[in-house]
Amino acid sequence: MEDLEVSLRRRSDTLYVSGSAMIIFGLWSVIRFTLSLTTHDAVVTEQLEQNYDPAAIADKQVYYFLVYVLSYGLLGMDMLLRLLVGLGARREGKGRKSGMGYAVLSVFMLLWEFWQLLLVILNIFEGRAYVMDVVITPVVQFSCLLCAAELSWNAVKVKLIKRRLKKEVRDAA
Amino acid sequence: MTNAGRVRNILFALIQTAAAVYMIAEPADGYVFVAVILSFSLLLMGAKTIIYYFSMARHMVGGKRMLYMGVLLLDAGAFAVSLDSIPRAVVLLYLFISHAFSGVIDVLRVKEAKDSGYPFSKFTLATGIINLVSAALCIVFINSERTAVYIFCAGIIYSAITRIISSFRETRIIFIN
Amino acid sequence: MQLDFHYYATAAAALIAGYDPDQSIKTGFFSQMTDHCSRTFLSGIKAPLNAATTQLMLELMESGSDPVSMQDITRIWASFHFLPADLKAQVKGSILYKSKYRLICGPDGALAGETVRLAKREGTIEAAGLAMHVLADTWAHRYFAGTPSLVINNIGDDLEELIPGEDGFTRRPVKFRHSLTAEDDPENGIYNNSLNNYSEKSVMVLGHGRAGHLPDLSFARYVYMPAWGDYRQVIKDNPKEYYNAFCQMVYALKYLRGEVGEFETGVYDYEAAEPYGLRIKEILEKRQLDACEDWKAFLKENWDVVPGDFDTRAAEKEYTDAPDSKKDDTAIGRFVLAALAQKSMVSGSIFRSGNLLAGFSADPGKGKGIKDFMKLKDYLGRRGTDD
Repeated sequence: MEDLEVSLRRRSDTLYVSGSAMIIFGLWSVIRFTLSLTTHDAVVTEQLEQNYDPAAIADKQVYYFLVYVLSYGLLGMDMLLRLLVGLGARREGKGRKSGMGYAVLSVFMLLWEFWQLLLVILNIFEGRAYVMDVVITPVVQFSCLLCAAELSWNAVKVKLIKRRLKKEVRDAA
Repeated sequence: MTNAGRVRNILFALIQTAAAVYMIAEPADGYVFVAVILSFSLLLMGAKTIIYYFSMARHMVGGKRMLYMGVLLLDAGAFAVSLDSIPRAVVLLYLFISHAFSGVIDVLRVKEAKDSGYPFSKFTLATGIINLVSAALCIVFINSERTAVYIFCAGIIYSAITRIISSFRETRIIFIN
Repeated sequence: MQLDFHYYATAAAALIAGYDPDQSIKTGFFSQMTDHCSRTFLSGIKAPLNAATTQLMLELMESGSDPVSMQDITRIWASFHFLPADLKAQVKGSILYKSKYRLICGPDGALAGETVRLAKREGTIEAAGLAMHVLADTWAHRYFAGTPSLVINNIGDDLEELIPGEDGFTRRPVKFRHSLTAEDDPENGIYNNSLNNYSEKSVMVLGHGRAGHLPDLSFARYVYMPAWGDYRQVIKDNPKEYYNAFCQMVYALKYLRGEVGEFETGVYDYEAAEPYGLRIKEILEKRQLDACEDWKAFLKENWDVVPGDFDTRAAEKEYTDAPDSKKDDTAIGRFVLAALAQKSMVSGSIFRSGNLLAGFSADPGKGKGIKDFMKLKDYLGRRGTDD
């Protein structure tokens, strides 16, 4: 029984940390996207004015506006999913009541992170990656995948261990 | 410290001072330099944290936090390095956080010593106040590139001075049985 | 442990061990001196700085995080307050991790035995007092290491106090705060601890800083996960451990007096302490931050001994008034020699075990000597020993 309790503590802590990491990575994605927009925005506008006639610029600006809206929309959905999964994992990790909903959604996160990792690797093989993208981005993306994988796995294991412990306490009584 | 160590320390301090003086004289170049240094220092912090996780923290309860912290710092550093230019506000915010944190810690140390009736270091108090003033300047002059350069260079010169002072301090490294 | 145990309880243990009142008070006094003798204190009386047995918060804050400073911190704290239990403990991990793990403090280790035997060879009351401090702290500070280390000294935020009740113990989560001036509040389970800045070399993770004063409160019983424990919980029952410390001190002091032939670890003189056991346990279990008055009353009730408050001025004056050639014959002079010997023994043992966290150790006479330790070498030469 002690080994089960140790295992429960270990997995609960992993759940809590993975859940927190998932939320923070999501927040960082939003911040990074916003920062890259602010630094590139001026460059984009300058290029537009150099290369296009004024009438076309208005269209292009609407186009870029729509791209920003769509990007933030997607980021928002990603962030919402992360919050649902991450907060659920944190709740479970702290021993509070939590359903299996977050665990189910975490599988979607896992598949999403796996897809992202594949895209990163593809980028490298197609020669579209910068130096940092070749070295660091795969490391970062792999960590996100690891986080999602650990979360999904431990979400299930924690529930199973809790069930077993309840049974053992019942049997002992 | 050995004599060779002292010479190395002093030489490094002189190089630091020369670099700081150049950046103050040429603020435009200086700003780029500051941004590059900050970016690489984030990258380095991330790498160090990840190495720390694999060598030590993976045995620690809750150690996985260090892995994710390291990855986040690594990504932030890589992102900063890849930018054509870092917004001024970001650099000044980074400097603000760094100086404010150091300043608060120094002042709290002095307050604690004073409250406990121990002698306190006027040097630590002065350093704390200077850090807090620097932090305030980062916010007040947030629109000025020169602010970032001057505050960053002040930090480098301070580091050079303390390096020279510590080179002349007696240190005992060998213990006698 | 705090002044109440180091000074008054040690004096009580000495009385039970057969010391006369004056010797007992001195033993307690120099046990407490170990918590007082910082470089600031020593420089004030122009005594050798290498004999420092503690570091003030300010001294710690001003020390750097370079290897030399870390070694300096480790030498002091591992030698006097966090005596390593097993320098050859087996654990999986990198060399650095193993080195830190092997500095974890605990009672009844080989170094604890060496500490008491060293005090016997010193033969002074001051050495006895210092040894009792070190011995007692092995119980209070167990599970923590006397070196800055996040991976060893950190604790989770799930520490729970075990509050005794009629039907056994109830668990109550402890709330930690990082106030520099507010007092601990045992009634409401609110205690102060050091801030976690996630830095391996920070002084915030030196010793039991992350658990605050809990290890030093004799009434505290708590359960937590130490950072090195692989998610296993440890139960710290301070009343029981402090009583063991007390009985071990009685046995050790009898050995130092010559009443017992050999000193062995794992032996505690419960028999001698038994007539006073109920009263001692009552003091240990009482939920109070300072038990000085209770210990003083205990000494007065049983031996009509009333030690004064802990005041170093008389000892300082004796030391500063003595000519240089006679300083070693003063009380503080003897304490300084005992401290140098203890630090030398522990640091040397750590070094010889292949652990570099306390720095390099060299025999006197080989290469450049350090002035302070030449004093120890001369003293050992005069005493006629081949240490």
